[in-house]
Order: sequence, then structure tokens, then C-alpha cells
Amino acid sequence: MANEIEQKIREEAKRLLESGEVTLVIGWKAGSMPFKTTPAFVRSADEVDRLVWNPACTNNLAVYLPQVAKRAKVAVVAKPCDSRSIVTLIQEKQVPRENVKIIGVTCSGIVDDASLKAAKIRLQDVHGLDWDGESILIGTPAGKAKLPITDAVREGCKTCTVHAPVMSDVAFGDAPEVNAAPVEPMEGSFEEKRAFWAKQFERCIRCYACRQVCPACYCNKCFADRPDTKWTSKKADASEAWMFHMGRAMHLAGRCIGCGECERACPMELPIMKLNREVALHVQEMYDYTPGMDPEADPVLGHWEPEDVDPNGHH
Amino acid sequence: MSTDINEITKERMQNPYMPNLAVVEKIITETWDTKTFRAVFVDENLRENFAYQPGQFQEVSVFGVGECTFCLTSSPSKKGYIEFSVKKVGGVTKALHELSEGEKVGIRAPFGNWFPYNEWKGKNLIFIGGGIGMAPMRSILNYCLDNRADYGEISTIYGARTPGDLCFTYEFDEWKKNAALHLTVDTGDDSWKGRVGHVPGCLMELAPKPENTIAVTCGPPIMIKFALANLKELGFKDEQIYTTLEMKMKCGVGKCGRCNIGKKYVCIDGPVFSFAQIQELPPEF
Amino acid sequence: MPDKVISKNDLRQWLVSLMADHDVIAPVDRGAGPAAWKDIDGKEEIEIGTNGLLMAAKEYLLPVHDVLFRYKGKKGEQILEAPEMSTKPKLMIGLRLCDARAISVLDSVYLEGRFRDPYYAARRENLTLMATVCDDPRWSCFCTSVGDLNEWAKTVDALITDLGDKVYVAPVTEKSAKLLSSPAFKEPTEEDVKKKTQVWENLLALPKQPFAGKDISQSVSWDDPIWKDMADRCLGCGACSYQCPSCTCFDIQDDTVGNTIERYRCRDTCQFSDFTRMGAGHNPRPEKTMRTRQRVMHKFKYQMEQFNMIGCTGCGRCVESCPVNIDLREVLSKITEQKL
Repeated sequence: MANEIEQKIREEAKRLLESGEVTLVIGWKAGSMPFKTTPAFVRSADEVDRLVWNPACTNNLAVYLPQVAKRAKVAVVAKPCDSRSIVTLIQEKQVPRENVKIIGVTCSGIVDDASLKAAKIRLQDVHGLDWDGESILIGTPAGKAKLPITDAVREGCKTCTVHAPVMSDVAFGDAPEVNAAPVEPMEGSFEEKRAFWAKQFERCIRCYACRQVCPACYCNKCFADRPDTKWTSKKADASEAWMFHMGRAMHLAGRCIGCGECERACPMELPIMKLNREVALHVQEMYDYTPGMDPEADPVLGHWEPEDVDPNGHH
Repeated sequence: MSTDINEITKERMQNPYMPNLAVVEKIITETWDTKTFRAVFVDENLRENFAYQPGQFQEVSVFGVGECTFCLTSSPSKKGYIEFSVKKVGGVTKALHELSEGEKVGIRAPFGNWFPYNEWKGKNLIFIGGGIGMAPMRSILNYCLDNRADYGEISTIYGARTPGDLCFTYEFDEWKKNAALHLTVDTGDDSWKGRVGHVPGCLMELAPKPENTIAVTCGPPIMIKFALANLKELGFKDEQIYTTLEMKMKCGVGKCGRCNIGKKYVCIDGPVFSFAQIQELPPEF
Repeated sequence: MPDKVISKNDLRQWLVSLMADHDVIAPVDRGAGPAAWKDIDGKEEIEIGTNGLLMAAKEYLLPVHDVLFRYKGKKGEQILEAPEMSTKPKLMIGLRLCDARAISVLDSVYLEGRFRDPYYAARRENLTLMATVCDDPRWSCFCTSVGDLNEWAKTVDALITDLGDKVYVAPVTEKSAKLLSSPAFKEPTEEDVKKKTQVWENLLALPKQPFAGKDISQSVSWDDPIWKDMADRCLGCGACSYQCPSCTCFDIQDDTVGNTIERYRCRDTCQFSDFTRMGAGHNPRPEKTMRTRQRVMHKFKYQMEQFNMIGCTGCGRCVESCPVNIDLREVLSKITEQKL
């Protein structure tokens, strides 16, 4: 399954580069080890064999587009998540549609390092990674370990309902049948949630990995980089980090497509997606809106109807 | 003299991050966007004994807003106060422009190296400045004028965009005494009777001889680039040309890493560099 | 100075007893993310083992933010106060050898040169280092490729090795030998010695990378195509440098807290485009290629020229935390490869 899609990606990349339709193809290539991939910037047809596709292709490649696709024709390999981010970027006029060739791939979820820990497999021992419809196959010194995909994938992948790219110029693979778990709102009282987050934000070191991996965080100047405005200082204490993360979550309302990259990128393991999911649930409930599905749709918070629900409950 | 400075520095700089309070005694409006501040240390001992060298810089605090780097534009030969010129670009510089005389600022100084004026004794000096770049040169120029007998011919080329952009106009008479001052502006106005044209062009017209001469040039990068090319054409060697490098700074004491270029830190090893020294740095300028 | 062993329970008791006149700084598990360095009070679960993620020792020596002074201004009266720092002797236990090496780099930056950093010095002075010998290096580790662990071991006061229910303690300096005079420390058995020797040898046998850290300064070049390759992928976050045990760059800012103004310093990194941007907008390092180059050149060339020491300890934190998996080992391999 893996190799077939991988082969098609390479062929398409080759065709696009050779025909001159694009000057750059962004995909994934092998990383430090089988459980890691790294973004690949392929500029010539003889380099397309570096491109890979597997369940470790975690980076949401849409993040590069506002920088590279403004003035040049590029192709990008897009998982369903990546394709939804591209939709958002087109919708928000950050990327001209005509500059991007989207090589879509279907996806049954991205593997999570933590699942290895649960399976008692040390990352340094992993020497291979493969998968079929239902399982992840991990090469270890003790032979191939098999993990059901549903166990091996990230939290956010378990509730994902979009397994095929929503926008693409070509798409490879069949959309897998996955029974998505329902998204549950955070439990507990207001005070409990507050205490939970206060504890989490203590760890934030303000490295902004969460913001930088996020395709929706493309602001030229983030409010957190404006100490003169005093929205939030550069201190890494819980209350300042609180302001940053809550501010970011609010700015992502109706825009976050839930790829989970921010949470994965966080070196301090902050459960950032808990916030984003919560906000997304509210947006869904209040406005019946799912971001990143339709490039023609008005951005939900950039649009107002008299009958819109008032988030504060006043009509 | 250098050991003196280091001794004073050591003694007073147990904590080099702690500013000293100073009263803004006088504010001179130089141009529409530039003011010169004269500050006097609150601490009497410091006021009397504060020593610095031409070319050194300071960190000035507006408490609650932050800190910003400025060269000491006054000459150490003028005792009892220090001066710095501030072009308003936002943040701390904006806050400084909003200060009134009598208000307090914090000052950490002196930092960095200085112009090697002792090595220059007996030589001719030509100062080539553009815009706010005149600020660091004013210190060394006034110092050399105050020690006039130590130097040969002293001439200054100073240019700005318009006549209204020229700073330190109240000192021009001093700069002409036993020395030459050539002013030039990019665009003149009805009242301007002087030269119109860029600084590097003015330099070529004057064509100073490189023999036994030191050239000092400070100003916008583009001006320095052409002034440097012209000096070379006139036969100046890299060792004869000095400038001050501008780099974002925060700590001033070689720790925060911001002004690092190669193995040098502009705040410790600079800001004064000869072009021979700059050639040894990675090409980041 | 004879080697000792101590049961884990006794070690805990001993640390608690030390707290009478010492600050004891140890890694504490936070439930998620790397273990944090805390000035412990004896109630926490400390983690002296080496299997989990651990914040770099700079988290204690150079906190993520550090108040430099407080300013209180009333009419006619201004007070500037530096925060009070503990003057007690300090013991840091559970750092790794790579972290000890990083402290040597930090010392060069913060204690040497024309100015001495008083905040760093206050924490660093009278600090006893008890480093844990790694018994299970992580996938990202490459310390043996950038330095000599035998040399690094000489920069700590004692080496400890986790033997399961007990801990093997080998004093390196008189200072630690004195601390170990408590009767809770026992003579090691032959078996203990064998075990700890095995751990040390296993660590030294960590597979070598195809480069030697100290030689990078010779092979690295200003125009290396690797900068572009890194810059393509790099997203410009601070995960690598904030986690790096020897990255020292900081910003200084003012914050208003009630009617007090705090001037604090906090982490900053050459990877942010704002880092070198000047007030009027000019930026000598506007491109990502320039910034990726600065980080590598600074560690492997400039610091080598400055201190005869590279600013990389092979701890692997940047490798693990890079969100796009830019693997420094691969970067260094390529830099070396091109020069062969």
C-alpha cells in the first residue's frame, strides 16, 4: 500500500518538474529513523526518489506555502489535513490557488511516538515501519511488532472524519474506512479546567514551535512578538503563557483544521489540541461550520449575519 | 588610560545590568526626528568620576518601556555630564522623545571599545559622517578639537538629506575653528547656500591625500559603502579607515549574543573597527 | 577518595538532610514533558536516572526568565533593587555528562571575558555537581562524537551510576568526598564496581557519528549549501536553541507588575528573525539561510575560536525537539563529507 502511493507521488512530482509546471515540489523524505520524516524540497526531476509516503509523514506541509507559493508555482503533497489547511490559506487569500499543484494522498492516521512507549518499544530500536489497512508494522530487533492503526495513531487522528484530501489536482489512494470516535468536550467545572491549564502552562518555554508549525499562524507579526503592546510579556511563566496560548486558540477559532501539529511539535508536551478542539466544538455548535472544507466559504469569524448566535448568549 | 577605564568598570560593574539613575538636564531638538539629551548622574561620586572614551556606548533605560543602545555623543573632555542623540523610530526612542527636562532615566555605561586617538597623534584626520552617523563622530571630533595640538589637519564632511536634517548645527562654528567643515545635503532649499550632493561625492571633490591621514566614517550603510570605495580610490589603506558598526544590542556586556559576528561581539570588541579588522569578520556587513 | 554506594532510599534521606544548609537542585517529573530542574524541598519525586527527557542544566543556571532588578518610582524617589539570590552552597544532582560539559561552555560565556554575569555567578558559585552516567542513551545522543567523556567527567564533583536499588557514587573532587562522609554511604562490593564499570564502558561504546565535533570548525564553510537545505525546512521556532544546554542568547524586557517595574531577561534565539532587527528596521540577518548558518557556525567555529571548545555537547535535544526533524548529526555529517 505504502509503496504504490509513494511511487505515484514520485511520478507526479517528476512529471510536474520536467514539464516545468512547477519549480518546486514539497513532500516528505526519510528522517532520522523509520519513525521520523522530514519535509523534502525537491527542485529537480532526478531527486524525486527521495520522496516518501508513510504514516510518519507528520508535517502539515501547507505551512510552507505562504512563503514559497506567493510568487512561484509549486507542488505540494497533501494529506487530508494539509489539504484542509491549503483550503483555509486560499480562503484567507494567503496563497493563490493557481500557484499550487496539490498532490493529494489519503490517510488513515499519523503514528504517534507515544504509542511505541505504550507498546514498550524503544525508538532507537525501530529499524523499519510499514503498514497495511489495519495495522502498523514496526521492525524491531525482536521481529516485527504489529500495532492496530487505531492504537498507533495520534489522539486527533482517532476522531478524524476526513480521510481523503478535500482539494487536490491529483489524488492517490483509496479513502480508508475508519470509525471515528466522537470528539468529547473537556470535562470538569470551570475551576477544574482552570486549574488544569494553569498546571499545563507552567511548562511552556515560549519557543513558539506550536505557532511556527501551524499553517494558520502566518501573521507577519504575532501579537506575542509585540512586547511593546503588553498583550503578553516574553516571560515564560504560566500566566503569560496562558495569555499566549489562549490568544492563539482564539485566533484559530473557525480556522484550525485540527491537524495536531502544534501539540506534536511542543517539546514540553502541552496538550494544546485540547484547547483547539474545545474551540472548534463551540464554532461547530454555534455556526455549524467546519473549517478547511470549502475555499469559497466566508471565513466564519470574518462574516456576520444578524441571526448569528452571540457567543455571550445575548441576542 | 585604558587600564583606568577597566578599573573603574570593574569596580562599578559588579552588576553590569544595573542602571545608574540620571536626570535629563537638557533636551536639544536637533531635527524633526532627532533630539540630543544631556544627562547628569544622580550619584554625586559617579557624576564627578564617570570616565569614558570617545566611541563608547551606553544603554539608556526608560523604566517600564525598556532599554536602548546609544553612543556617547559628548566628548569625555567635557566633564560632568554625558550626551546621547536619539532618532525617533519607536519603542524606547519614542518614550525618550516624550521625556521632559528634569525627568530621570537609567544609564549603564560605558561599554565597548573606542577610537584609538593616541595612535592617531600627529596625523591628519578626516571625519566623514552622514545623518545620525554624526553622533558617534561628534565625540571623537570634539575630543580631538579639544586636544588640537596633538593632531595635524582636521577636516569634517557632514551630509544630511536636507538642511533641516543636519544635527549639531550649534557646534558648526567650533568645528570650523582651526579645522575644516564641509557640509552637504542631498536636497537643498531656498535658504541653503552650501553644497548639494552626496557625502561620497563631496569626498572625491575634496580628494584628501592618504599620506599620514586617518579617515573615520559613520553613517547609513549605503553611504559607508560608497565612502569606503572612494577612500580606497584615493589610496587609503584598510588600516587607515575606521568606522563604528551598528548591530542590535541588549546586554552590552558580551553575553546576550545579539551582536555576535564571527568570534567577535560588537558590544565588547567594537563598536569601533578599522576596515582591516572588518575584513577579518564574516561578511555580514 | 574511595567510591561509595548508597541505597536509593538513603540517598533521598541524605539529600533531605543536606537541605539544612544546602540548596539541592534535582530533576523533578512534571507528569508530561521533560523533567524540570527544581530547588527541591524533599517532597518531590526526583529523577536521577537517565532514561527520560530532562531539561538542560541551564534551566537552573539561566532560568527561562530571570528578574534582573525591580524599579519602584514614586515622586522624587526611585529605588532599584536586584533580587536577592541564595548564598547557600548548592548541590545539583542528576545532570548528565553532556550537561556538565554544557556548564563549561556557559562558564566561558558568563564568567569569563571583560564582564562577569552576577546572576549566573550567584547560582554557579559553590555549586557541587553530581552527574549521572547514562545507562541508556537516547536515540538522539551523540556525545561521544563531539567530545571526550573522560575529560568531561573531570569537570564534575562526583559521578553517580544507577545500579537499580542503589546508586554508585564516585567522588571526583575533595569537595564531594567531604559531602559523602555520611555513614549512609557504604563500601561498594566487587559486583557494584563491575556493574558501574560496565555502564561506563557501554556509554563510551555509543556508536560514533561520521564526524568529530572539534574538526567541524575546519570543514564548515560560509557558503555551504547545507544552510539552504536547512533553511528550506526550518520553520524558525526556538525549540532547538531553547532546549540546547549551551545556547545562551537572551532578550531583556521590562514588565509592569502592580506598581513595580521588573526588568527581566528571557530566552531568545538567533533563529528568530527579530533577533537582529534594529529599531529603524535594518536587519543584518534577514534570511533564514543566514540564521541557520549563524547557529551552526557559532557553535562549531566561533566558539571554538573563542574558547577552544565547541558549543555542542551531543545531547541530542535539538534533534529530538526539531518539529521538522532537522537532524544536526546529518548536518554535521554532510559538512564533514563535502570536505573529504
